[in-house]
Amino acid sequence: MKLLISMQAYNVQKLIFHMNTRPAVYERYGSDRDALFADYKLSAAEQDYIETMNVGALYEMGVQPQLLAPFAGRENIAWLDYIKGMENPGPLREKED
Amino acid sequence: MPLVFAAATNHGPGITARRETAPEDEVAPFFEGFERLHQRIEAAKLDALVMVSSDHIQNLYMDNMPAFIIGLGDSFPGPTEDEHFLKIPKTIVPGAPDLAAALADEVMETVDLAYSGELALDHGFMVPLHFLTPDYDVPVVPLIINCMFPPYPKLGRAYELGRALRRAIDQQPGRIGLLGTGGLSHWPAAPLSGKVAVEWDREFLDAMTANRRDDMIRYTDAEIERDGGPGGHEIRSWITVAGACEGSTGVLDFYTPLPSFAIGGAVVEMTIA
Ligand SMILES: [Fe+2]
Repeated sequence: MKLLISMQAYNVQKLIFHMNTRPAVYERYGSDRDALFADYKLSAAEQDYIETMNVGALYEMGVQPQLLAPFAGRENIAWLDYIKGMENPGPLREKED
Repeated sequence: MPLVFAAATNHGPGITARRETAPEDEVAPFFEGFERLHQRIEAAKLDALVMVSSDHIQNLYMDNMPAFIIGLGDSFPGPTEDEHFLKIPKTIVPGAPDLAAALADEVMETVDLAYSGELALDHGFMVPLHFLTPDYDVPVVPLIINCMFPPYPKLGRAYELGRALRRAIDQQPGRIGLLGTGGLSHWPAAPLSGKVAVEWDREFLDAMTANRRDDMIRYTDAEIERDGGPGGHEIRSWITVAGACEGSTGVLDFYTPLPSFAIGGAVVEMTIA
């Protein structure tokens, strides 16, 4: 058996889980993003994928799609755009400054 | 006989989220079947409903992931999903904490359970409840099986959980129902979303309605992922219902592929012997 395959991308999945389920964490994503990313020890690539909603790249890293779909919904990504993004990794929006 | 009703069906969020946009001829057989199930649940005059589902990473993460966890709360908020997405208004579903604790106590003679006083209900519970007890007037005992992050509980353990639940339920005085939800084949929120593996679904349903345990639990996790999709892991809920009805067979009310809801849709009701 492959050992604990789902532990891949542990930190970024944990952050998305908390943003999906804890309003205070999602609120920090809006107001205190760099510190939030640092608290969850996200790599530069993981930060970029979240900020640009590159759900396909996150999926390829091993992120459970059932974390990505509700997060994408909250971030106003339409369902069909989300599925396209899962099929063809790439940013679904530009990074804000 | 306190277990008075046992069935399994689906819970895909598309059932409510995409109901309005799905082709009517595709989804009508499903909603007609759901309505028949609703009628039978009402006729069963349940004092409580034990529901078995996966969690969809709304309560549980890999920092502390139980194979099986039962909800001991007085009540449960749900759905966890945004109302504009799931199209089910937020509510509070009554729990049955004394019953849940008594069931857990007896189940743990043979199957270890985690428990929580703070579960919230996601679409795994709320989508079926929205149709089957629309007034949320039947107290619910939620039981979650990890189908999200491997290592998953083995299929044979899901059957054992059902056997243990039956023993526990039969010691209770009230009229108790058991409903497993999830599956069947699907690729939720993934690139293959919308694919339905009809043959795979039918083979599982044949085994379940005949209650052939060995056929139901023969799949490896890799085979489930390949042939039934990641959502196929939710057959565990159905297997638990079959385990609770060991020695009895079941009836397939309907099976219909629902690409618009990204699931194979079915209702199986087990005979209570
Ligand atoms: Fe599910």
